[in-house]
Amino acid sequence: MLKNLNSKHIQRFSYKYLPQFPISPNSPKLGFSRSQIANYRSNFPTTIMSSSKTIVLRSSDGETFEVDEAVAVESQTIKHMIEDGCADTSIPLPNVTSKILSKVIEYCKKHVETPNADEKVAEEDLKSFDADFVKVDQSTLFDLILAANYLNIKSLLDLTCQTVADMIKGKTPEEIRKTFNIKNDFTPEEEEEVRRENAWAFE
Amino acid sequence: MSHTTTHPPPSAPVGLSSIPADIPDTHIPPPTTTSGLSSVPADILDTQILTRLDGPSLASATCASTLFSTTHHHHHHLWSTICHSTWPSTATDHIADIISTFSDNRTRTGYRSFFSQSFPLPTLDPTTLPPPSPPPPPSSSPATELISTVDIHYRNIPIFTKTETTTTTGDWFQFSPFRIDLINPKNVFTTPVILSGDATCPEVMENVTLSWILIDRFNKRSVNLSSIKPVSVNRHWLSGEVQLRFGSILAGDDVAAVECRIAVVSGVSEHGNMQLREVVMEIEGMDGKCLDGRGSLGILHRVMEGKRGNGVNRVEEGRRRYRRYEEMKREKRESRERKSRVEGTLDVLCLVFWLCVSIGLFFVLIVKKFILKRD
Repeated sequence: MLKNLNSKHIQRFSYKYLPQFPISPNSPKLGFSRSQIANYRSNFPTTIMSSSKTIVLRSSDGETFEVDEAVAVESQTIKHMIEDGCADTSIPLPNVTSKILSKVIEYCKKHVETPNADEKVAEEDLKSFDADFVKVDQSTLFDLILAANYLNIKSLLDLTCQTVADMIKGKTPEEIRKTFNIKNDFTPEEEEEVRRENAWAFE
Repeated sequence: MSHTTTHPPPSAPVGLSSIPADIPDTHIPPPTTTSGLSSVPADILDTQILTRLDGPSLASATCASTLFSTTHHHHHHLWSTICHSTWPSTATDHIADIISTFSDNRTRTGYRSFFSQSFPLPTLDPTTLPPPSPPPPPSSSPATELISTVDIHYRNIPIFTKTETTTTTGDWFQFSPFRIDLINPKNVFTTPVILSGDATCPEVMENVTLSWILIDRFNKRSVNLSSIKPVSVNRHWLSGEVQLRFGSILAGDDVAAVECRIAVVSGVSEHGNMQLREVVMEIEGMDGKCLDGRGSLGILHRVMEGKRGNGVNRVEEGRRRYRRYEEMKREKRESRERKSRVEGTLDVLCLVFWLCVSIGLFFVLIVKKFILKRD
């Protein structure tokens, strides 16, 4: 029973929300019967959720978003701000617009709600959510990369950067320029040299 | 939309609150109105995006724009990671040292140069080119030492990597048939791959990929002579061993093409593991005779100094060339047989003719004799 409480739960919520009992499941000093523990564990998510803090995030255009602490600390930046005590009123995020912030919150919520990917179904569900999540226009995708970098959310950064890498794979230089709408900013001599070195890849 | 952190612009749109002055200073530039690839900071592009690309995609991206160019150090790191993951044998210290000599210390493009020589097909298609007029003598001298780095993968998992150095100066090499053997016949190599079911069936063997790179360290050249996927799979009827042939077609000295054949013989151990019993490289001409060391060295030297083929669709193109080579071989054999048949027929005709002539003369003589006798 107790070994199913993994360390992620313990890290995320401070100890004052949990009854004080030792980690070892066979300890005689436990004081709870098995049925009590089972009852506690089945209520675990809702019990903790209702008594957890909510954090207010403010985007660059002044819009506020109220999220559970569990969701907010998916971002290491916000987590450190909370730990340092800067998050009493609200956390300002001047580099993230409300549109992007709402998407990021949607991502974090889904990843927090999904139980720890032990079952195949949950894993598949999360994968299809991720695949749909990045089906956005390029401008939003790059904003998501910048936001994930600023907020230090590793899984979102991995997901968005992998999407961009997949957009580059298998394309010739002209196709890459067309996809990302970038100009050829080489001088003619530079272009000739770099093409000569790399022509084997696409010709 | 206001971006500054010190004071809001006077023309801020209605409805947006002004940003208070006590926001902590950030080191990331504010987002532009339409984000393109140029808005992504260079360090994210380098460390997160370019590291996820494979070799050809990275080369294409480098040609597309200066956005994808990186510092020399990072460039070296990117390409070395790609080389090591594609060919695990290049990760050994000895080979890594050799590869870093492929370029100067300042630009550190050794790994990229190595990849660009070892990834594509070894030459332009020799089966379609006209037979070469005697080629101009190459500027450098042939290799004194050939280093073979071989990697065999099964379903993209490396199962066998080996490097072998072959010295090419010496009469024994020059005058005996060219052959590089990697496995000692007494110590067969047992791989960790467990084959279930019909272990030696050709469909299973299609999952084996092989790469054989020959490195000439002094001329700083390398070439990959394998076709990556097997061009033919043959099962020996008695022993049950499977012979996989990889290899590529090269331009020969005075013939149109020769085959550089890499043969892998694999069997099954008593526990069901795939065993590699032989991994060997030879060079064979169209008449089926193996070339000797000196001729092979000349061909390999010309290939290494020459232009590489294309890197896109390498596997299909390699197989197509092999099929074309086999056709050319068959055509040549058939024309030789036809010629010998024609000559044989001519011989028989000549014989019959002269036989007829001599019998005719004989009859004439006999008849003359009788007539003379009667007269």
